[in-house]
Amino acid sequence: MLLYSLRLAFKNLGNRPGLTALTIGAIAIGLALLTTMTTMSYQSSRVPVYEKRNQLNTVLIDTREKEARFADRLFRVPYLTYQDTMNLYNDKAIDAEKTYLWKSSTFLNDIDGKVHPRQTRTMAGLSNFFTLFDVPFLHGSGWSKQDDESASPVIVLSYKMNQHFFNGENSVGKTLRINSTTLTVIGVLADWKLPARFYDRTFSSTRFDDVFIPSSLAMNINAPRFIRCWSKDNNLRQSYALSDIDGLKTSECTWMALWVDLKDESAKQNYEEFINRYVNQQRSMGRIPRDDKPRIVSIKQYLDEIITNNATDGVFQLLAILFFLVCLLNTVGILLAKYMGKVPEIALRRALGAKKHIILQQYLLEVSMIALIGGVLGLGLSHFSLIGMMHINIYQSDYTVTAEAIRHLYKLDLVMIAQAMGIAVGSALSVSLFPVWKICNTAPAGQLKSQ
Amino acid sequence: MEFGPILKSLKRRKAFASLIILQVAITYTVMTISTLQTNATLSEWNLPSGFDHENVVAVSSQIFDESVQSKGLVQDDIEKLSQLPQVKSITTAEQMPFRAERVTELFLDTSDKAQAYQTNIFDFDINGLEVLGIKVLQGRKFYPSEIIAIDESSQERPSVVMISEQMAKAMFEEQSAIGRQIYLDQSASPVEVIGVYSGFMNGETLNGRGMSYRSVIRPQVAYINGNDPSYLIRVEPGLTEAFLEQIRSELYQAPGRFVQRVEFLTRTQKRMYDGRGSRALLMLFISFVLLIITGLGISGLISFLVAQQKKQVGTRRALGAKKWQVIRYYLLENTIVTGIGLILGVILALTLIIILSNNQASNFISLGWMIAVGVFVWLISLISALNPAFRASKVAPAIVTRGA
Repeated sequence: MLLYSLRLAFKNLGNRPGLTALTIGAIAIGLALLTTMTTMSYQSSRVPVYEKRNQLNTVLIDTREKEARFADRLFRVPYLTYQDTMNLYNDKAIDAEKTYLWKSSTFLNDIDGKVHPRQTRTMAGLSNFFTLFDVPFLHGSGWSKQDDESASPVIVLSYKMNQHFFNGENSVGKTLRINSTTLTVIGVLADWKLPARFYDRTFSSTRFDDVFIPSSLAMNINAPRFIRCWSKDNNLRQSYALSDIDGLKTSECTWMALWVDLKDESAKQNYEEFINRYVNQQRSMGRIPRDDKPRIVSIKQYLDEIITNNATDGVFQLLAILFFLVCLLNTVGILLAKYMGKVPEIALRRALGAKKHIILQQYLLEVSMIALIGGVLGLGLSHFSLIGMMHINIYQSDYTVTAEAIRHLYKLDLVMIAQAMGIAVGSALSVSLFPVWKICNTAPAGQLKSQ
Repeated sequence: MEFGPILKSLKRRKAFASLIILQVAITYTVMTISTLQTNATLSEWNLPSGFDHENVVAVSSQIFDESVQSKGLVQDDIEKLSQLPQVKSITTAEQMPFRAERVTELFLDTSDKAQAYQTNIFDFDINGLEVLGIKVLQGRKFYPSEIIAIDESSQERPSVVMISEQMAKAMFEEQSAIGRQIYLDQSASPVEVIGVYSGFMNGETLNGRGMSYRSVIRPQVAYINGNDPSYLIRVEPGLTEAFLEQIRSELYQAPGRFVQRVEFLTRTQKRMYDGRGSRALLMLFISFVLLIITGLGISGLISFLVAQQKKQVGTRRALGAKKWQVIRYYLLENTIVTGIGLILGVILALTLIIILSNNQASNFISLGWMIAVGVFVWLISLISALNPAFRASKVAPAIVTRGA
């Protein structure tokens, strides 16, 4: 019987092929847009260091002046000052692994000038950065605690930089210069598939760090710092950022991120209390003028807050959903019209003894077929529109990001494919269920009379 | 007209009517939101540059080796580059058109109450005006002796500047700007305005504030170590990327420096606008696709309706209705349905916009655009109804005489 229904449903598709194509096309286009948008937001909301997403926490203390506007978004909360970072890092009261880091921009060049130099995004941090954040290595390894203390001239290269300067060969032991300081390559990263550069709180998903050096070394060679200063320090910002590192260390300028590994909820609570005590103690010493509560935010929480506040993506998402809805209504409207015309035929079949559920089955099968075909076409379309969106992104960034760097943000995966097919079939069926049910329920007698 | 019959017929076909109404409502909502958003995004978009920017190359480089002396390097660069046959004129440049970011406040006096005028200051050498190819409208150009080279130890600063037409208008309105004293910095001595030139696009920062052509040209060349040597070069027309590569390799002859950018100003201009431009155009494209789908859908629905109503149409024709009356019937019916859809759409769009703009804190409702989109959607819907309506009008009255 199912086979018979299937055959009838299939035959029905061939009836007025133009309209069938329209219904399939509408579902396909609507679904393509929806899938494109959901895939993009799904891929960009992937959590970095997934296994440790709840246990790796960063400390946020708003040390700005009292008059500053309340930091309603995370990116408005400044980085930490050197003083706070050191106080918290060196504190032994709470037993938890900690690491701190800061951003810099340097010029990487080889000594004999054979390869063109590169401006490189630079992470200055500690030896445990690589272990704490599960950074994968292709060659060599990170530096040691000893290197942290002695500010050893060592450098870890990203996969990309190793390609640029050494054609991808194992460069461990070779030398490169940062600005005019010669450093020894100690490790080369594997192609680190980090969904977002979370650790310096930028959460950039298209631009990643090129080189990694010990913080102590970066300070010694006076690598420039991205800092923000408040009131009295503001005049000195330029010199703090570029030259006067000792001044910067005692100032209230903010530039460092601190991460704490808190294994469970109670550890987190403990640490929260500790930070509160610390901030209050600093306030009693006349620092930290604002009374915003300090926060301990995990990677997961951080990402969630960013996503909820992304308004532009919200508009696109909304439009995509509405768009799909129109396409769906379109399809259902045309199908409904088609089925209305079939009422006499249905009446005849019913009069000849066809069961209601068999007829229902046949029409729902037809709807499912249309949804399925539309779904497959829609997935194909969304594959291309995702590639299109990727190229728009590359174009928007004026070709400063490469397709390789952002391809992962525009990839359809099994989850998205399953979701799209589910949405196509599920929504089409649920919207058409009622009208189809009504048509099948028409009393045969009334319809037969007029024949 | 046949309002009564139409309403009765619609009442009998609630499902049809509500499907079209919903489609129209949502289509209108999507179109309105994207049009309004596009409108807001594209304000101050793709304005004229104000000068012939096509054959100007912008070069920025950075010195990373502390042993490299800025002065020697810059002078070598200028000499080397101006020897290239394609180069017509070259100037050092602090800030460039289309991407000036640093905003300076100008004052007319040193009092605390003095009004601040925001501007971008461009430091060029004697060739600056020639490279950009901008006209002097009032006053005069700089004399070579007025170009001041500054380094870490020098105290002398330029004593004269030129300002753009738009800057002059903002500061002095109808009065002549020539000979007036202005303060680039309230704690330093004032400078004299010696000329007014036709303004050029400064950059996104001031463009976003509606001050696209406000600028000051200061005759200054900085030889400060740690500064980034940057140049603007007027070149012969019709050069390609290969020429940019040639400049790049010339510059890489000197070690200890990173050549960040060598590009035609057309590319700088593109970069300034295209982020928001492509986003907005994408949105408009999406809404047009949606409109086409809605149109096809309406067309399909009505043709079914017509097919079903063949008998009624035939009867009307047999009873003396003219062809155009049949067409009018369907178009009127379509207009009523679309109208209800549009009313719903306005409510839906306004609700969503209010919710969204609460989040974004930017209110971009514009009545004119909302009406325009409404009329447009109605027209499209009317066009989609035309074909089935014509088909209905062709139904032969004789159909009544036939059985079912």
